[in-house]
Amino acid sequence: MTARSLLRLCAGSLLLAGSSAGLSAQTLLAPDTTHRFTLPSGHVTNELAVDVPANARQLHITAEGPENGDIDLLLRYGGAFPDGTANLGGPEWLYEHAHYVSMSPGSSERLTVTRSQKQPLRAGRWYLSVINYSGGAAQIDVRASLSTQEPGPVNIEAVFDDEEGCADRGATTTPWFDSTSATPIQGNNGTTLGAQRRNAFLHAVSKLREDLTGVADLRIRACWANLGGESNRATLASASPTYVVRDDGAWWYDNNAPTNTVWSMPFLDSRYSWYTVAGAAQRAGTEFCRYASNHCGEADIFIQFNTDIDGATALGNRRFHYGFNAPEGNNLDFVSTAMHEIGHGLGFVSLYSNSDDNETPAGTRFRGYDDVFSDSVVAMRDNVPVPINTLGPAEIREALTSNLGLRWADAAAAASPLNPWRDRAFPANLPALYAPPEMSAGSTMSHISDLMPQSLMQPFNTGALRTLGLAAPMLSAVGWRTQANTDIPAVPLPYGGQWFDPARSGHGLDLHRLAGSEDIYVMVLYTFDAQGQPEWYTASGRIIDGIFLPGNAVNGHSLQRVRYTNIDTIPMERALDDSVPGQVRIDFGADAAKAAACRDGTSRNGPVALMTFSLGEERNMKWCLSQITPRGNRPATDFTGHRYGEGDVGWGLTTMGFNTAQGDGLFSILYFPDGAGNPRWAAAQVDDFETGVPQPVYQIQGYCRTCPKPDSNPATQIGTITLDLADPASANGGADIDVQFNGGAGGRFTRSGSVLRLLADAGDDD
Amino acid sequence: MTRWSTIASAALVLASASAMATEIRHIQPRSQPLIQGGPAEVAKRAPEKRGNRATPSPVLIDHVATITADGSLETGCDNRALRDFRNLKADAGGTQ
Repeated sequence: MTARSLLRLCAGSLLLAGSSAGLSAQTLLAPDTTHRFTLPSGHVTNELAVDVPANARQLHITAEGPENGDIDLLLRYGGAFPDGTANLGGPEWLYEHAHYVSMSPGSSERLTVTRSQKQPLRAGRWYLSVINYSGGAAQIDVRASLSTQEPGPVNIEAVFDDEEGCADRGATTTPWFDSTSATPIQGNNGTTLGAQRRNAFLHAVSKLREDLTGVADLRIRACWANLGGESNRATLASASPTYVVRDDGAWWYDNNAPTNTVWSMPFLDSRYSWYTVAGAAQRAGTEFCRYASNHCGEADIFIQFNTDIDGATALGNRRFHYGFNAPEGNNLDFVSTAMHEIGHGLGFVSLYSNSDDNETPAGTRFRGYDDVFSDSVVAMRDNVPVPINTLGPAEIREALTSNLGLRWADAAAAASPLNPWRDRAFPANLPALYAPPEMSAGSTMSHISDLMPQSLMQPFNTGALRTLGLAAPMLSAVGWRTQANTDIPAVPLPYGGQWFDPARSGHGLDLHRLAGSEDIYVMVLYTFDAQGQPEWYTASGRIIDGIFLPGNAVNGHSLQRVRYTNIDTIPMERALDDSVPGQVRIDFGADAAKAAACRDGTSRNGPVALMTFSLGEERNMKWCLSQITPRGNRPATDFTGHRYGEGDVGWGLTTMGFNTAQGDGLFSILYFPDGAGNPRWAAAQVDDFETGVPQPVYQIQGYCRTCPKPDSNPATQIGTITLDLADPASANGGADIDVQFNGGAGGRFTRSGSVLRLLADAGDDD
Repeated sequence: MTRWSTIASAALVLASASAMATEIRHIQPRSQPLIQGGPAEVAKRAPEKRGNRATPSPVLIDHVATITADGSLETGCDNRALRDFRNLKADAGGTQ
């Protein structure tokens, strides 16, 4: 059965949906030629595309709209964006299909794609989507250009005059403009103290640029503050990334609970890991404000220097040295201090707690997520490197104080000529991170070990260094990669069958591939309501880049509850129940195993998938799914599939085969209405299925989705089902059903001699 | 619409997507309303996308200088967000 033939089986309302699904074509952009067009307010066009030749090393795309407008630019490789408003339902789907996004609040958008990014630049057609959120029609100029040159040094803007931004952090810009006379020193030709400070900072930036290749401009908010100090101890400077971001593999905004909003950042190499915004920008191929929808005055890095160093109290008579070379005498080297601190802002920082503070014990992950810096770290356990992100907080804490037991495992850094240990045998060749026996808050793990030869990102005074050294190849793993990416993401389509979260056993998921289709899956979530009564929800959509992306129905929901309005007709009359807004996404990618829900201590076999879903007030639940019948536990004659009654749509039956000692077992779930038209389900299970033999059907008393899992879920027989399943290849079958819902609404559901048709099957074996 | 028709809607996505890539033309690109209900509905929903998708960084690393007993200078890093700098003075060695 093909997808098209399925349409003929379905109701007339489907044809209405199909009539508005547009069939469009591409307008191919000519390189270096501005393409101007007008887009009405609230409209999108998916018709623009650009062909990239094999020798291209950079693709730049810009979209410029009206001055006070708001447009967005999306880009994907390998297939056009979805079209047809009936299926679109809202903008989220477009963003979820994008590989790259430029979505600033303004109308100047730009993207750069190189060979080093997650979806690397390669020959073929790249598809654009341009959206106009402006209040009126927008005249938009889109321009694509190609380059055969690899990217060069990243552009870094030092902002010295953001008084408001500095003030927000209790700092000021005034010392940058101090008019006190100064004598030029070591190449710093400033004749005022303020000018020398600015020159020294810009020199630090220029030296860093020599080691940093990037395509997205960075902005550093540079400030000064009275950080105090004493005669023998003082803070010289403080720095941080301004923000961190992560990819949650889904996209929806929750107006009622914005903090629960789920974002997708598909350009990040790792899902469920924090990136600093500077590193993420290089993955995104555009600036922070554009990929994260922030305002474009925001900085990537915040840094403040201590004004008291140049005063009389902190560190006695020592001052900052603003010359471009090493200080003479006892003064403090400003340039290397700035370079070191900016290095942290670039992404050389772990977000694991390295303090035994009660609120954030050492080893605790920031908000339960790993960070991409820590993802590159291994803990040496009995001389075996173990990824630290697979360890629990107590084990991480142990590694943080292991002296030489904390190593950087990224292969590129280990092999780099800048790694002084590169010639050692593995794993002794792995660069060591700072892990002193007594934990050092702020230093542990976020620096190169002081037991390695001198380099800029060590925790202690490193002299007047003017190069990132070993830190440069290490930054590659946190967003600054320049090597061509040949590991193009391709996630195989998942096994179509039953999935469940062992931590929420009793609830489950019936996910099957639409018979005859390539990547369209049909999902039924069989679960329990607030009273523990069985209920089900459904969704359907494609699996794209490893994520199940069900489309929104006309009510804006992707996870639907159906209400039966007349159960006495054949087929029964049904309608979407808008009272329970629902959204669902399922990530089948390998990174799903890194999600907090998959590291809850529950044992799971085989590949896992992360389901993020909302139902009514239950927002953004995350369940870690595994297969109920993994490969090796499936019978030779496998009746796994989802079936419906021919000419009698509205109820359904899913079956799952499994091996038992007695023979070929069969687990079945029947989807049917109760007497009040609520969607209910019940289950049957036999260890040695025989066609035509009646089976008992059980109703399970469960527990709500957010309730604690009980020790057991009692089952009560509510009827029988007789299945005729003799020929899975043709999917023909039959069923006799007689069940009586056991609950408030009651209701008997019977069918005799129903012809079963296969709607969806297991798809290709995984 | 029933759950079965939802399934069929997804099938339409496949059909339309495959048809889109068949023709190339150099004309004004065709546009479509982003959201059913048209521009007014888009205007209501547009602010949703503007939400800053980033989380304030939890770390602020201090670069600290200490003059040791022999007069030499040592520098190192602290994390202001996790620990108050002033409490570090008692740390052994003073070379935090």
